[in-house]
Amino acid sequence: MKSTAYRLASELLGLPAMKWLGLGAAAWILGGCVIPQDTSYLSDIPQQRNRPPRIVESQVNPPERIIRGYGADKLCKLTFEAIVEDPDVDDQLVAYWYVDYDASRTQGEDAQNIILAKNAKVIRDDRATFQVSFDSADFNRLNVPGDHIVEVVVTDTGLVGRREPLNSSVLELADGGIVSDPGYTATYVWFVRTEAAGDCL
Amino acid sequence: MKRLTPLVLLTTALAAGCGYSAPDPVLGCRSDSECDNDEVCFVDGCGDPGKNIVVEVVPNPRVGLHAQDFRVTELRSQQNIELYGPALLKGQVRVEGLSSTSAYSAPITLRMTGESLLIPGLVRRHESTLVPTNGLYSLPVGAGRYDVTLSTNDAALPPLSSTRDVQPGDAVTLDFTLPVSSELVRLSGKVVRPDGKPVDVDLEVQAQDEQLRPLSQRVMVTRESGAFTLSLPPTAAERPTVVLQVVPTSPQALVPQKQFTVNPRQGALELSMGDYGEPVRLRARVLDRNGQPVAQATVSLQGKVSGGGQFRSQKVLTDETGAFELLTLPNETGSSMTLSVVPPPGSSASFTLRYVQVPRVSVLASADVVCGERVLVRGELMKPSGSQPAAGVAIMAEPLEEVPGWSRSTASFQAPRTTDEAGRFELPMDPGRYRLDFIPTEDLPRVSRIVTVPPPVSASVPPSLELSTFTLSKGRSVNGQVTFTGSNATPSTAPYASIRFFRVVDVEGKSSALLLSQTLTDQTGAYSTTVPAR
Repeated sequence: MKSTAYRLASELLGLPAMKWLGLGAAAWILGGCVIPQDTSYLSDIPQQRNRPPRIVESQVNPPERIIRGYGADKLCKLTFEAIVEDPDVDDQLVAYWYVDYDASRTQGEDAQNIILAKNAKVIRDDRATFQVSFDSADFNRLNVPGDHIVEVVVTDTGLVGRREPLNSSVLELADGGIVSDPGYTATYVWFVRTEAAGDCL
Repeated sequence: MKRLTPLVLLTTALAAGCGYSAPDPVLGCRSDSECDNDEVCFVDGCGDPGKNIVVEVVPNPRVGLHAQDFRVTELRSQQNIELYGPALLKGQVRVEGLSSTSAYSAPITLRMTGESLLIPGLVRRHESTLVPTNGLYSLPVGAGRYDVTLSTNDAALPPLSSTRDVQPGDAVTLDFTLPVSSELVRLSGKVVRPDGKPVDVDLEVQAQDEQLRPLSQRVMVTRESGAFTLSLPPTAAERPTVVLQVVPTSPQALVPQKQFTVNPRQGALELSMGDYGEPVRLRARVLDRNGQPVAQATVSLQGKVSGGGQFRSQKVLTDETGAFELLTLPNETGSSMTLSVVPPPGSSASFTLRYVQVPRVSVLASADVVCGERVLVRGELMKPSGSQPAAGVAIMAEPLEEVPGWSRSTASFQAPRTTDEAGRFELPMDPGRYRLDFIPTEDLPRVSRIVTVPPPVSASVPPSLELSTFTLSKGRSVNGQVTFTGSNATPSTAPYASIRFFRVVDVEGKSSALLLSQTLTDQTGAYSTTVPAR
């Protein structure tokens, strides 16, 4: 025994006008799946902003911040070393070494190392290294008796002026806005007391 | 007999020089293709890349986990490394008394200088100032052979020295007994000029043995009177002689340093610095062979002065016109002083020594110093395949020793430019024996070669040296996990640990270490690096 509602629907669908109406409704609903409904497209993947490098402080060499007696009692050579990491694995890093940097003078770096991007590793295998020898004929401020400051500045860009990172690049956003994308530096400092005496002379 | 005649003639011709060629500037091989199938061309010649390997691991010096070295019998692709806990130097510091010793509990400074037991030439150093607890001290150190010196804040107490070997994970005992103050031998005196007046600059004096090892602390000379007092241990006072070294503390002081050999049991000493004269202002220019100024060259002067002292001037740099001015003392009559000129890396002018007379005048305008020309060392670097040039390779030069007739060159330096697109490089170098390290940009291992740069044959021909083609080695990946064994007090993994693989072999009869690769473990203690392979 069929219900009254079922009978009414069968009768309505049986009408020719209702058939066309049902077909139109189906086309309208299904069409959304295959016909583009919006003319705006997905934007590009957002450009990655620059991230800063880091000096692995647990592995700096010498491990002591204060080094006494360079130039005396068998301490005739010193090797400063810093290991760096940068999440931007393709960035080329540059380590600038300074002895007694004075911002009021035009003073270039005392040494420079380029740490190339290779192996796509966050932690770089190549190390920033600065060697000094007390008996070397080369000029080095560290060989002058007295107190000195040795600094390493690692940057993922260049340094200008008073060791500021080079100009920021500008990123354009999808909405038309712009955002600054700066370069970064990381630094580490040692204090050295040079004492000319004994077997280093 | 007739058949032998051409052979004899050929041999004679070769011996006479027809077949003569200059000695090969490169030690050993140039590329892996010159070696057996399972060998790699190393700095010492062809060798098995998996043998003679020593690995240095530095877990975390900040928390007292210093260097540990391990011999690797056969380097495998998966090379896990098990570490020991911290190595310790520990002991007691006591002071001798009349009947017994007592604990010393004032600040002490321990300075340890030495090198690795397994990696020749790898210098290790530790220094710490600490206060012993009831005379006991403990200091975490790296593995190595050390000269240990203990000094106290009390300038009257002489430093004590000893030697110790420390293995990974070891606790090595070293006790010190400081002499009782009443047993110390006092050595007093005055440092004066020939007229008996004190030298009006800050001076330090120290007693040393024949090898210039300290027997006393360094003490300041009283500026007003020139008086000083040194304290020597009783054993030092039994020596027939000791050396007293008098050194100005300021680099600006125009006073020589001087050594005096004295009897330690002698009474009041009068140490005369002699008539070393008044300061002389020396001016000159540094030029290259073409008469062009050499800027940024380092100039210094040293030599014997009247009165028996040695003087070493401050180092100065030449300006854009090659000019320099330095303050010195006049040389001893009948001798001369040595002027050293070190042009900057990359300059074509060579390291130059000149003997100059510095008379007793106030200003001396010296003749121009004309430097020789550095040898332009050229070469070519190929990729491991041998068919493609290796571009962008960084080159480091490490001076090893001097060649006859030339002074040892300066410190190690990096070539100003990497190899070009054709794999070519050019490097102005002073004559000497060098190790050249080639550090590729790609994931390839670093390669080293020993090269002798001979002195120029003729002053009229620009010196150059063409090295034959070098080939980089192939690399293979070595990875593994670095963990601690034993104690529960230490972490089981070693995050951010430094790892360096060395090849340790005899090079020309001398045990030498060559760095093959270096890396750092990640947060989990895992590492991956590339070493040479066939």
